[in-house]
Amino acid sequence: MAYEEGFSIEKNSVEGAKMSASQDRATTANLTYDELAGLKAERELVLLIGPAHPGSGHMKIKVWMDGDIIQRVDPDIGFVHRTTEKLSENRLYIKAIPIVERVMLPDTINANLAYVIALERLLGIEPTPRAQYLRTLTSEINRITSHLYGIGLYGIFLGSSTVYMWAFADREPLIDLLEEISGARITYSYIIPGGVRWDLPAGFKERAETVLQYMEARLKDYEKIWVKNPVVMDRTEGVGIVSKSDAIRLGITGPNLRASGVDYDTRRAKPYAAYPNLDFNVPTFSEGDCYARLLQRVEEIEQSIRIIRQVLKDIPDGRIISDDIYSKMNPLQKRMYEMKHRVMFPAYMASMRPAAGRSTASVEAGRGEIFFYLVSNGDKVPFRFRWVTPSFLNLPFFTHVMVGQHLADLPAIYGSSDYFPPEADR
Amino acid sequence: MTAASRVITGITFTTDEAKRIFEVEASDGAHLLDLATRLKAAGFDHCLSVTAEDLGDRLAVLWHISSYTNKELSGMNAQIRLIVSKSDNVEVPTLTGIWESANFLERETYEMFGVVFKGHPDMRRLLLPDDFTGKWPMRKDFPLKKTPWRVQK
Repeated sequence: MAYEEGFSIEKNSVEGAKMSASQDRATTANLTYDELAGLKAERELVLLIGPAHPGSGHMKIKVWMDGDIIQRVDPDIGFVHRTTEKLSENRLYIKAIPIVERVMLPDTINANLAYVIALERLLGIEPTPRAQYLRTLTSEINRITSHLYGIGLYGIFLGSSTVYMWAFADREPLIDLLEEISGARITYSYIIPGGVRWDLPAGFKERAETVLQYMEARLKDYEKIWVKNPVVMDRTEGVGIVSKSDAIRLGITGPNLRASGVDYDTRRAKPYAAYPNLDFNVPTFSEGDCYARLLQRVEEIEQSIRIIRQVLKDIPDGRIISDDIYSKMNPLQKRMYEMKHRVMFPAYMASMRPAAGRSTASVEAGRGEIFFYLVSNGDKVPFRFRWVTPSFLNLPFFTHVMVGQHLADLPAIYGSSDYFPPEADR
Repeated sequence: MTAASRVITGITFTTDEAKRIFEVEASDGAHLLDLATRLKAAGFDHCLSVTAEDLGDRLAVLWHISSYTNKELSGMNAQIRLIVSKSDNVEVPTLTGIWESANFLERETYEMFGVVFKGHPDMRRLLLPDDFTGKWPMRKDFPLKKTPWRVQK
């Protein structure tokens, strides 16, 4: 398939065009309408980008162009499809946690959280208040790393390796914080039904405050070298505009939606974890262009810093695991919990059979809304495990937003949407 | 399931508040289109998920919808459910004419469950590879094979 299309590009080369033009003159008189339309279509240039992609993963973008103006885009996704739904429908409930994490590597806490909330609703378990705050804390730290990941890759898309190196280096102190809490750098598997697995280590608040102050200072540096950089503004302002009505119609989600002026945030609309108790703003921009989407991420980092400070100040004392789960622990596990504030899995985790029923859950991840739909028929594996990730919902960036733009702006639009192929393919 | 309900512009949803389930059942294709049109007018402006459930001899096709603009509805993950008998190619009407955001979601449901959405502008495979020959991998009767571990000597 790809080779045939590669050949059609050759036909559009200068020599090929001359040859076919002379043939055209000799034969067009006898052609039917359909054949004439085919000749016209031949002049259209088809460009295949990928699957090996310089940006963030693997997908193929098929672009039809007239000159260098994009006429139509067909995103061919699925190169990193991992059948997470089928895998999870054939495993114990608890084993789906690592599976959902693997596809959203920059943002694993939020994937983990969304699944566990859906599962808790099936089981009818309520996490403890302290666990709710710890979930919010880790979720917001992870949101900052996810936005830094997006900003860094946007640097690569626009040809600035400096901001890429900066952003990826600045994820480190935040990842270190999460490592202190959970013991892992990227795939935390921190959130479990009923609560979380580890409590805050001693001295965490002071270290977290140092990191937050560092992040605030670095945001000022980013503003100088990247956000207010005239080259960046030139390449992004007025490019890839998504109007408010289009964003709603196409179902765009997350920071991309808010950058188009829609005041919607899952944390506020469908409250979960400790968000109802916290005071934070939902920034929006009315421009809807690539630059607004960049500013949106920077502002959301500022809000996340604000939320983390509140969480560290207000976090209540108490157990980090609900009584339902605690009562199912054996004496050794209970002693371990009292000594180290660490949750060892009771046998229940491997044998849980939620009563037949269905539940949904929505969580605001770094890139937008994760949606979960779980169905149990009383068995030890989910009967139906459905989830939709934000990058999948952001696919109209290819089919709609890129159309009518210059080919040279394709990386600017792709990067601004923070599209992450493994997350979309699931 | 608790038998609670909630009425929005004359449409009665079966609800389970604790599990965040708000469901309305469509009896057939025409009823589905009528329901969707009325729900769109009521303020449900985007589609979050389209999927199906394999119920043995029948398939339940589900559209999950929500609202970005209507503050009263934006807390709901409402679902429209249509039950059809299972065959090789099940046909149901598309809702892309009402919610354009259902486009890719319906394509995914088509390749995974073999549900053909009649009237969809671009009913092609999306995630599966071009040379995939199996049928409808997310149905329960799809054969799962375990590849044995093999050590080359």
